[in-house]
Amino acid sequence: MNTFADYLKEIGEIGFVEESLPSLAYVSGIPKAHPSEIILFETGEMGQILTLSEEKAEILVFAKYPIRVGTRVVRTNKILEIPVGKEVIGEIIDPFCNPVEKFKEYKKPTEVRIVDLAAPGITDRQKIDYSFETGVTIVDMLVPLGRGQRELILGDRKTGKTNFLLQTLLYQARLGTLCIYAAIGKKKSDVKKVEEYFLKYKVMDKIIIMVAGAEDPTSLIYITPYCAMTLAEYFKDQGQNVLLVLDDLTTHAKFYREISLLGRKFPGRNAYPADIFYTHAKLLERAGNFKTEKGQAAITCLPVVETIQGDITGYIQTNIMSMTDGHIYFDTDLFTKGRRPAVNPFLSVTRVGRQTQTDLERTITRELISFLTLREKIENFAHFGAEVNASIKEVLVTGEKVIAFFDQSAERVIAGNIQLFVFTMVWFGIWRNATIPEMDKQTEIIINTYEANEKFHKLVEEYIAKADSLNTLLGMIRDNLLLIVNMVGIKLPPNPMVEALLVRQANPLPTPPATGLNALTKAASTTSPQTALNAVTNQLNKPEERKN
Amino acid sequence: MNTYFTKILRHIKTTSDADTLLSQIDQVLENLYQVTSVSLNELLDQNLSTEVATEIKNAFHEHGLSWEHHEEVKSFFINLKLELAKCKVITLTLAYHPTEKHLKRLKMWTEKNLTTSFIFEIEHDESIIAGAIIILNGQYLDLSVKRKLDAYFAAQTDSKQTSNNTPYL
Repeated sequence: MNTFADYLKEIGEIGFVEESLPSLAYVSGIPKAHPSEIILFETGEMGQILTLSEEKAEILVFAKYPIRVGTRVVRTNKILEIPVGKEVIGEIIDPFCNPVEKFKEYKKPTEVRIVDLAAPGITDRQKIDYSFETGVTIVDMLVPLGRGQRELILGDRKTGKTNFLLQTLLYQARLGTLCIYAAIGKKKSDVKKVEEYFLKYKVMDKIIIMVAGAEDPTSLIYITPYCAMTLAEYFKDQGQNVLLVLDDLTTHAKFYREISLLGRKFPGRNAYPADIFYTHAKLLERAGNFKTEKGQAAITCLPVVETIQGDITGYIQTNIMSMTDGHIYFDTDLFTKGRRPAVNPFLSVTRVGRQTQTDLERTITRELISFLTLREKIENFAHFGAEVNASIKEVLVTGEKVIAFFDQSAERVIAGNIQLFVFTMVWFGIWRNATIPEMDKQTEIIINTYEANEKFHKLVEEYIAKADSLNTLLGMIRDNLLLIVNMVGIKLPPNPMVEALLVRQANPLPTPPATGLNALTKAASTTSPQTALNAVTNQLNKPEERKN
Repeated sequence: MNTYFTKILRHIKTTSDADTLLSQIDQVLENLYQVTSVSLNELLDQNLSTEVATEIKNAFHEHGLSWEHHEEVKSFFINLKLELAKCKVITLTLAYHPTEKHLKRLKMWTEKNLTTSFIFEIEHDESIIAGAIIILNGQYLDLSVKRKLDAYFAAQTDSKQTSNNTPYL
């Protein structure tokens, strides 16, 4: 890396710090400076030119402490770049791709990429065709996502947003997606918990954690999401699908506001600078589904935004809702009631995910949403203690089971196909008379069997591939219930309908021999055309049967 | 009046001279409205350097300014301050402390060869050995002997490395 003296010799221009603020410095001199250029202080710190006026340049300083007035400054003739490469996978790095652990053995990548790039145009993009599974049942079934979608994660603090993100990262890492988690202004303890989660489930080798902690300079926190996106773009260009989580953009907006107000930019709504929308839009537009030299590759982006007391009409919240392809809302009320994850499917939106669903998934989602809407209305009605009839009771019982099915611990991720399979069993009413813990236990066994038993895994995959609607899948499960129960090794709870089915399947009635037209049909289906024709002719020539 | 300003500013060679003149002008302006028995000439002699005071007295004499013309005297000094602010600063890093004579010669050279009025900010750095480092309007020019020697020895080192790498014939 070139030193201050090297650049001074090469460029032949010098500047002096005239005014110094936390994260900002005003510099005179350096007459040929251009916007976004990197400048070097003689003390070794770096900065980026934010604005230029006739007499001074405003520099965003990437240093923890203010620069001393009078410090000399030199131009580098370069734009902000970061090193990118496979070497950062499995590491915890800062926005400049340096390891956070100072004494860790680390080989810095040699290739560099510009951080501040324009989003690709429409010709480089492709329609989102593939589904993006999160491993969380309620999201995959009710708010389905697509690969390359930008979905906002919205909710109050401590409502389970980060847990959901960790589950998604875990599931996608297991599927082979490269995952980048950008911790923006987070506490070190929170980042440590995230690292421990990934180490526990042995997926750290497919994840990159980019950190700018709360104690880091404001300028470093500001550039973190852009650096994370640059890293994501590098891997996307290698033909790899990437999941990028930006946790969280409300903190990013607050720090950018701080920098702008210090820089005496005119405050807009809520004291945010006028270009706060652009600041986030230029970032999120860089995600999507793209055509690359190595084939189709996508950057799926999950930005996180915190709300205050459930207010989703805030400035930053509505800004980012308008930039993204939908949002998943974590409801505090549902969290208080004990629902985990506390996703409110009625207030969540997915604009792109439904086009990636199969016919089966689409019918299930449609059925579920209308059922849950009906259940919501009935619950409000039943809350007043009114007498309810049998059909309403049925809805309430089924609803209870469906909601319990959606409850999922933070440690658990469930593959898409087994979600559909188990849901259909719940929908069928197999656990109608069981308690919630019993149902949970048995569904857990079914899911574990799917993951461990290859034969059962194949069976489930076969059924899901063949079924084109909920009713078809329901029929398949109903017709093979005994086989499924035997494969999984569970004893279903008492249920007259299920018991009758199992008995019938255990003792199938012998099929009667085929006569008359049935015999002909059977023969025609099992023999060659000539033999079938002979059989038909013989049958027609039998006078007594014709009479009958 | 501009000619007089030019003559006055001829005596201002460095930024420390400029700072001194500014504080002296402020002193004069402070005393201007005080009721004393001191005359304007005495006031100038007390607060300004001899050469500058002489030039100012000549200017006042030419234009018939006296103690009673407070506003015009004040306006004169304010304009002098503005002219001083217009002077561009050349930062010179030298390995020695220049004498008054040297500074005067430098000043005369700039007046003769450059259109705008310049003053010098002299910095002392013995490590440059000799020569000078000049900074003007953000442009940096290193004409020091140190740079030349560094370049010379770097070239020597490079040529030795090249000869070591030459295959044995």
